[in-house]
Amino acid sequence: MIKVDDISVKLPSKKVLVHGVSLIVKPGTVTAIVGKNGAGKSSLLKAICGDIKKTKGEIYFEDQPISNIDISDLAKKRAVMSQKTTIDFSFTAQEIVALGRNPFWGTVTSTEDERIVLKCMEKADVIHLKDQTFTTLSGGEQQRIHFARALAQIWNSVEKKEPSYLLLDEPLASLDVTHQHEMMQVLRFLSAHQVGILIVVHDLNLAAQYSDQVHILKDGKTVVFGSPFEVFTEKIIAQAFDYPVSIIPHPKIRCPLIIASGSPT
Amino acid sequence: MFLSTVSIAESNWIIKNRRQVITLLVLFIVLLFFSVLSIGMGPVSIAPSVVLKILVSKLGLIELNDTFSQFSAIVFSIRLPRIIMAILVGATLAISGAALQGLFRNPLADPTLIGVSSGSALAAAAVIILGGSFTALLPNFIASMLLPISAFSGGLIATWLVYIISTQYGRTSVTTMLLAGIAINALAAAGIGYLIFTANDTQIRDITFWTLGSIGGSVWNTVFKTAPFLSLSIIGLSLLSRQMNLMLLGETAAKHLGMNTERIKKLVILLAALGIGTAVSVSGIIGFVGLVVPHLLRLFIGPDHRFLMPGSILLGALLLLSADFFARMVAIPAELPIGIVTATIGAPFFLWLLIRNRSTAEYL
Repeated sequence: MIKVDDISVKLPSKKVLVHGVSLIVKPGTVTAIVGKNGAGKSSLLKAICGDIKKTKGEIYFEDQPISNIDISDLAKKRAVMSQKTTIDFSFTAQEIVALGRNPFWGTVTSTEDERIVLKCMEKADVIHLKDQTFTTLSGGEQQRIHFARALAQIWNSVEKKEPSYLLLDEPLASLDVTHQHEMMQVLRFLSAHQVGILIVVHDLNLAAQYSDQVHILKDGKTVVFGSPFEVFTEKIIAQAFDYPVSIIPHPKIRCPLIIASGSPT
Repeated sequence: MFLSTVSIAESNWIIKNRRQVITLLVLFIVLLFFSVLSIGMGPVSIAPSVVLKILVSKLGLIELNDTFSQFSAIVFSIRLPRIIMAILVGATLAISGAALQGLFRNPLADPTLIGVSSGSALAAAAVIILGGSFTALLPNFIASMLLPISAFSGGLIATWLVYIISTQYGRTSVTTMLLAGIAINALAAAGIGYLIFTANDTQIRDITFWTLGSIGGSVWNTVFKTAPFLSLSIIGLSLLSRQMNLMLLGETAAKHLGMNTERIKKLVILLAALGIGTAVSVSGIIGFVGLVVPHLLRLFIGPDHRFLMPGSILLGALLLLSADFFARMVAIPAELPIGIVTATIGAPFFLWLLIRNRSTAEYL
């Protein structure tokens, strides 16, 4: 489990990006972070995965302070999919995904690596792009290839149903509606295989439909943390987003449905 | 059982990467062939078969007859050290170029364009002109190493400067990188200008040699002194191929894939500066090898460093060998500085890259 204990991120300019946030990511669950633009969602995720420095608090990875864990050991159990990863060299899609196998270099055969790479490309629906040059693909396709790379990194644990973790920063941003749902369904599949997932999302209904826990941020602080039914109430959302919404039960599945309505309060 | 699975996996790997494997093999064969040919060419020309016989005789396998033994001296004391130097310097410049491009995540990073070579040349020029009285005080061994060591330091400082100026939060700005290179080149040129101003005639001739580039002065002594450093740089950088691939994803992504990015970055900068600095100290500024070679290779075998690095070694050696061949042969008995030859090929190539990619702003 990843335990985030009261962390803050303060810039040298004294601006506070994250203010005393605590959360827990358990294997086998999907936790969504939502909030307005500039609420500190990405900063929180970056602080958790170590891309930016926290100025207060501690992060525990399986009961150890995360800074005590060797990055090559961490990479075997935790994959991160960042918001933007640009590449200026003409790798094929498959070569990019294969880079995700790096933590296991020298410990598994190349045939096994290739089997996993192709399997993960299938899961992310990019198998048909495998020989294409990455730089020539669309933003959404590139996004899904990076997703496949992150899958390939933790796939050994997924197959053995051993605990592993996947942190994603707005992975749905440039995807069409079909691929958004497909990616969320893959995340559900992963959580059934003992992956603990932390995901920053914008679409509240995707968070409501697919996550076990939702963490709402505003101005770097936790507004509320709980199950979709607990946190998606008209009052909480209106307060967190400064915008009125109506919430009704989803007509087809058991989750709240959020509808933005009317003009700002 | 175990052995057979391994060999099946290996043969699959070769089949999958046959294009790369074949390209490397062809390059290797052409390089061998051309080296022998090149040893035979010069004011006194020696047939390739005779060159081979002379080389083999050195191993004690066959005896030479008298007509060939006069050629033996030419081959061993004049041509061979020069050919070896061309191969080592070409390989070093090309693989350092490939490594810097990986480090900057940018295919336009070339040791001459971003000022690494001129940083080395400035330091080398300072030693030539100001070092005279100073070296007399040093022990012989250190005095003879002063030139390569200072060229290495100059290259190191230049690389480090360009890197910290153009890279922020693990991302390199191409524009800043190239502009920083222009500034460092200008600064180095000014520095060399000051030095020339205070120099005497012999020193000025030495400096001109540095700025134009030549491997004409190569004797066994230079080979023995520089080969260890050049080889260290070549081997060290080739061993980082897998890490260089990860670097292309960017520093944070590489870190999440388990790579110690800080250590790898430092290693690449050190090894590249060591290679370029040593090369400059022995052969002056030979431009564009580090740009042209990795670029041409990527067209044929793709950007995977596991093939690009060994390929750069072979093609870099081949390119410099050809350029030296041309420099020796075009105005017999005079010699053209080799830097002029590589710049004549490299600068138009660079322009072609810019024109080809100006709409997409992607360089390969």
